Amino acid sequence: MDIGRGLNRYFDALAGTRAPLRDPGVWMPFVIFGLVQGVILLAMAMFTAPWVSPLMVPVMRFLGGEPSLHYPLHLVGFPAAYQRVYLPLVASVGFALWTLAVWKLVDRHTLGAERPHRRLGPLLPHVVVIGVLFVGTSVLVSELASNFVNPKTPAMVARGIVLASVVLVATVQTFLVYAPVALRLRGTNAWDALRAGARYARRNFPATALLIITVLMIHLPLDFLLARADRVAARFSPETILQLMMGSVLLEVITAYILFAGVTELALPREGGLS
Amino acid sequence: MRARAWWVLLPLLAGCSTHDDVRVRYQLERMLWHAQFYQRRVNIAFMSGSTRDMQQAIEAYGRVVAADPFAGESHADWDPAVAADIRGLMVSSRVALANLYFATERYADAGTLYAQTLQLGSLNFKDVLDVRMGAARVSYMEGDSRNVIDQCARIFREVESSPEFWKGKGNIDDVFLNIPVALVRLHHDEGDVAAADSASTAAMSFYRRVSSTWPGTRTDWQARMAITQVHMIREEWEDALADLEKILSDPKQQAGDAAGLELVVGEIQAFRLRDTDAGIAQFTGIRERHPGAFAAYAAAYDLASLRAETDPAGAVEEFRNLEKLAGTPDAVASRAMLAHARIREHTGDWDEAYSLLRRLEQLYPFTAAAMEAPLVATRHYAASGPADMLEMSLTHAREYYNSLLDRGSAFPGNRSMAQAALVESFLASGKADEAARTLGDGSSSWDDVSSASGMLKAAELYSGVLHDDAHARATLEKVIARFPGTRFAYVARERLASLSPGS
Repeated sequence: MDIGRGLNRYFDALAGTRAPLRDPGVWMPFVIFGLVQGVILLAMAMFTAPWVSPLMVPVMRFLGGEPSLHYPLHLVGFPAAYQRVYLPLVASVGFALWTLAVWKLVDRHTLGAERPHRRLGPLLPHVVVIGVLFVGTSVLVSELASNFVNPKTPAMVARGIVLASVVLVATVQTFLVYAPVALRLRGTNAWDALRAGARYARRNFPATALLIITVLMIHLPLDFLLARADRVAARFSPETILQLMMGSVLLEVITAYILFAGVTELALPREGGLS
Repeated sequence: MRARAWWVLLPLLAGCSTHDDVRVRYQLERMLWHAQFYQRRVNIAFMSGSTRDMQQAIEAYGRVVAADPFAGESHADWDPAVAADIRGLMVSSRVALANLYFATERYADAGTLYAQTLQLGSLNFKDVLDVRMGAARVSYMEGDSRNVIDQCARIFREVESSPEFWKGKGNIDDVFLNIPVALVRLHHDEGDVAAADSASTAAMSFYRRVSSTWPGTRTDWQARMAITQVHMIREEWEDALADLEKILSDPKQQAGDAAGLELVVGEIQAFRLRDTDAGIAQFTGIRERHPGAFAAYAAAYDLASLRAETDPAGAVEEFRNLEKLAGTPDAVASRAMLAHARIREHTGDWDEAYSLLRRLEQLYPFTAAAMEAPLVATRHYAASGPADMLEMSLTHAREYYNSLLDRGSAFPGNRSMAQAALVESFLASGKADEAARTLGDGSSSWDDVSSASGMLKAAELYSGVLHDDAHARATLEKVIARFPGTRFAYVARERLASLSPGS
């Protein structure tokens, strides 16, 4: 596929994400996951409130150690502590809800409607396996990248490593992101869905990779600020970190929708490639 | 199934603590952080820090102090570690608030808060020292020298008897290390010989223990130097000399700049023990060993001063050379000009002396020597006339000292010395009443400290020299009205109380 055609498909996919917005069943799973995260964030932020403290004080101590019970270290270390909740949460609950939304998107297409109706429940373990791989990719690449960056690393080199890690994550996730669509269409197992998804990714690589890079780049400024929570707290106020994290959740509701609606849009006209 | 799950969860949750201690600590830390935010703003631009920032910081710390959970309740059920954290937060908030009161000259509030904090107890070693030091500073600013001595003595006792201090690595804050010497000096200056003797014995024993506990460290050398200082305060020059020579005999000494210490040795030999030969040898040695150092120029000045006692003409030549020598520090060159002028005055060459004094003022206007120059001229005319020249020199002295004391003056030196020289000029010309009137008016072109201390000096002249208690009383009342809540008002109140009633 040439670059021009890839760009056309990328913009078509983005344009195609508007139509399903009229169906609340499609975007509701994204909103629900956003709300779940919002509630968890608030509980972690307000861990000293009398009605949550019996549970949240031990939880915060477990997640962030003794410093997380002190102000402002609690908020400075908040992104790191929340990451420990977020990764398992997004790999399981998040990915299950997003897969549910993808299946709703597939059902809206003629090709999807022709396939037999499937229930998500029995395939949930396979969804979680795909979710763990999808999220694990970004965790693994971030860990690898952080090994190469230290306070003495020149700014240009550090920026280069961040950019390289974004490209690497996007490349690997391009091969994983079609798996929920394949699972809905084929109804087999995680391994089969991943193989089918990878085959289609190869044919549609530029547009898909561009879509994932777009989403990752949208999150980059907020991630950059949250990685420097200590400076944000000193420059503004520690509470700014919570506001940034809430903003990040809201942004994720939007970008996750764009990603999965776009991918479904890319997948279905070419559904034949998945079989 | 769901109901069964709740039955399992409920006892678990009910058994959990509500963690009130963690919540209270978190809320206090939050309040403290916001108070520190204002304090940081004040610290960043202390000189231009707005009154509003200072007020906001005081109010924010005030809220933290008011939220003390242990005020009236013991909270025995709280986790001891968290309770200790909270107590630490309260102490640091109290100290910070008291320091802010101090910075805004609310000495009474600062003193009360320091005293309350000390009464609360449960302070760690460092906090006790900080709080006592704060209390001592407040007493000093309030002019309560007895309490300054008392607080310093308590600090010394705390340090001396603290096992934590002696178990440490000897990284002692210089301020605390100097307190025993300061105590000896305070008692000595107060003229309390018995107290000075006792403080001296205690200081010596403390410093010897410091040296033997941390031998070879910077603290050890500072302690050795402190012992020398005690001898010098008590004018035990032989002992001070022996100590200094012992320090200087060790090439690894960290007590201070070697050239400077050698100069002190020479000055003790030459001017205190009157061992002129030893002094000359020492000063000559300094010039050879440390060419270009400040001490080398100071040694040359000292050599010329020694020569002046037997050979004024030769000394004049040496002072002249020193004035002309490139690289001579201003402090030494100006001192040489003054000494030169005095020799000229004593040898009857007043015109040359006067010309030197005027030149000294013009070349080095902010030096201590320049500050003495108008006084020398005034004293000369007061002693030998003529009257119109005395008037002229007094007018000049007044202008010069006013230029130093002016609010916008770049004079970096000690303004109270300039003020004392102004008073001295008036007194030398027999015009104590004019001095009292000038200072008593509290010049608005001077800064507040100079104005207030000038007014106190005026009251002292009215009552002590002019025996006019009515004017003294009026001046002191003016100080209280114009500088309320300051140490000047405190001192004025004390002096008012000591004036005879009804005067």
